[in-house]
Amino acid sequence: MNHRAGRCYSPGMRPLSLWRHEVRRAGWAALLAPPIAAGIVVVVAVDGAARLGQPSRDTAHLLQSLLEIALPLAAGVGAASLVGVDPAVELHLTLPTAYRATILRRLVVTAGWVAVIALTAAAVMVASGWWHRWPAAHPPLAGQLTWLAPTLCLAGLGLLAGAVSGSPATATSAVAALWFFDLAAGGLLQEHRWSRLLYLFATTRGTVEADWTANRLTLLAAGAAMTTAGWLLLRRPSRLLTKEAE
Amino acid sequence: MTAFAATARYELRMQLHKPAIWITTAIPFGLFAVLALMETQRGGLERLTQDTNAKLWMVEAMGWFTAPLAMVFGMVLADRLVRDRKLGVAALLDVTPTNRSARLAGKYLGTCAATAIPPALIYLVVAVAFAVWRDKPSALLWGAATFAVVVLPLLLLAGALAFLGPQLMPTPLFRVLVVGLWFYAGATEVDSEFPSPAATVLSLTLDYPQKVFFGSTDATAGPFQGAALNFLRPQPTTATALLALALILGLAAAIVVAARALNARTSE
Repeated sequence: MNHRAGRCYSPGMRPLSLWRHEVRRAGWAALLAPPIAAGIVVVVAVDGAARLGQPSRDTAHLLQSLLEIALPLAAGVGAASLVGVDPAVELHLTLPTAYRATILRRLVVTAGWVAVIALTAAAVMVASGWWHRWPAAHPPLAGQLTWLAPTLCLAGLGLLAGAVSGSPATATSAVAALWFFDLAAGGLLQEHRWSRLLYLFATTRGTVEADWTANRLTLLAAGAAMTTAGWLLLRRPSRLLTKEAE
Repeated sequence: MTAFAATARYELRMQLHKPAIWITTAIPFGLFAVLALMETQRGGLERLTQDTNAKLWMVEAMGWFTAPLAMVFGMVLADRLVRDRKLGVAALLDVTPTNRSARLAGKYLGTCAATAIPPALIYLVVAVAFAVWRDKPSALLWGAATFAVVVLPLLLLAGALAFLGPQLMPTPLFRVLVVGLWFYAGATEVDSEFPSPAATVLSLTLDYPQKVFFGSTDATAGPFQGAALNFLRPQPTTATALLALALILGLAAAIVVAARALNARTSE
C-alpha cells in the first residue's frame, strides 16, 4: 500500500487540506485578477490627481470606485467561471466529497481573495487618510459594505448563471452585462425605489442617502439568495456535466 | 474542399448550435428593453420615440450596444482557440495534411461569422420594426450599413483578441480584461482625468465612422481642447473615418498574426 497516498486521501481529505488544495489550484491568474482590476483604477486615480480641479476629493472618490466597481466584477467573473470547466466532472461526482461542495469552496476562495484585497485596500485608505478625503464616504466600519454588497451579489449571480447555463461564457456575459448596464444606466436606475434598492454602485454612483443601508442589505440578501439557488440547482449532476466540449 | 473552407464551415455550424451565443447576445438587448419600458413615460428615451430619421435612429438607438456587443464577442469567442488543446484534439489536427495557418484563419472567420448572426438578426428585426412603424424602408439599408461599418469591425477586433489573449492568460482573466477594456473605451469621456481613447481614430466604439458616415450625435470625434492624445484626433472627415476603420481592421489582423505565431510556438 502506498502509505503516503493513504495519509493524504484517507479517510477522505481533511477539510483544511481541501481548502489548502483549492487555494493552490486557483492559480496565479485567479489571484492576479482582483489586484490587476484594482491596479488599473489606482493608476487612473494617481494620474488624475495631477490634473483635476479638486485632486484629493476626486481621487478619493475613484479609490472608493475601485472597491465598489472594479473588485466585484473580478469576483463575479471568477464565480461565473466555476461550473463547466473541470475536464473530469464524472470522476468528481463519484468522490465522497460532493462536487457542488467543491464548487462552493472554490466560490469562497474566489470571493474571499477579493475580500482580502478589498479589506487591505480599505485599511490602507483609512490609515493614509484617503478614505475621509471623499466627503460622502461612509464611516469605515459600515463603509465596508461598499465592496461587500456588490461583491456578494455579483458572485451569487455568477454562480447561479453558471448553474443554470453550465457555460462559463454565458455566465460571464450575464455578470458583465448586468455590471455594464448598471454603470451605463446609473442615472435612470435612480428614479424608482425598487431599482435604487437593487443598484450595485449606490455608494459611488449615487443614490438617495436614506436608501443606502437598505440598498446594501438588499444586495446582500440577493447575493445570498442567488448563491443558495445556484447551490440547489447544482444538486442535479446533469447541471455539472461540462458543456465546454461544445 | 480546402482546410480553410472546411474549418470555417465547421466552426460556423458548431457555434450556431451553441445556445451560449444566442443567450449572451440577447442579454444586453433584454436589459435595454427593461430600461425602455421603465423610461418611455419619463422622457429618458424621448429622442428615440420622436426621431423619424432612419439613418440617425438606427445608429443612435443601436449605438447603446456598441460596447456591450464587443464585450460579448470577446467573451463568447475566448475559448475557441484554446479549446482544441483542452479537448486534446490540437495534436491530432496538427498531424493532418492541412496548413495550420489556413486552419486558424478558417476558425477565426468561421467563429466570427457565427457570432455575427444573432446581432445581425436583432438589427434586422429592429430595422424592419422601424421601417413599418415610420413607413421608412430606408431603415433596412441604414441598419445593414451600421452593422457592417460599426459592429463587424469590432467583432473582428474582439475575435482577434480572443484568439490571442487566452493563450497568454487563463480565460477568466481574459474575460475580465475584455470587460475592462471596453468599459475604459466606452465609458471614459474625452476630457476625463486620464488619457482616453474616446474620440480618437483608435476609439474602440468607432466614433469617427459613426459621426462621419451616419451623423450620430452620440459619437464624439475630433480634437478636444487640452485633452491628452490629441494627435490621434484629426478633424472628422471621410478620409479620417476610413483611416479609423483601417486602423481597427489592421489591428485585428496584426493580433491574429500574433495569435498564429504564438499558437505555433506553444503547440510544438
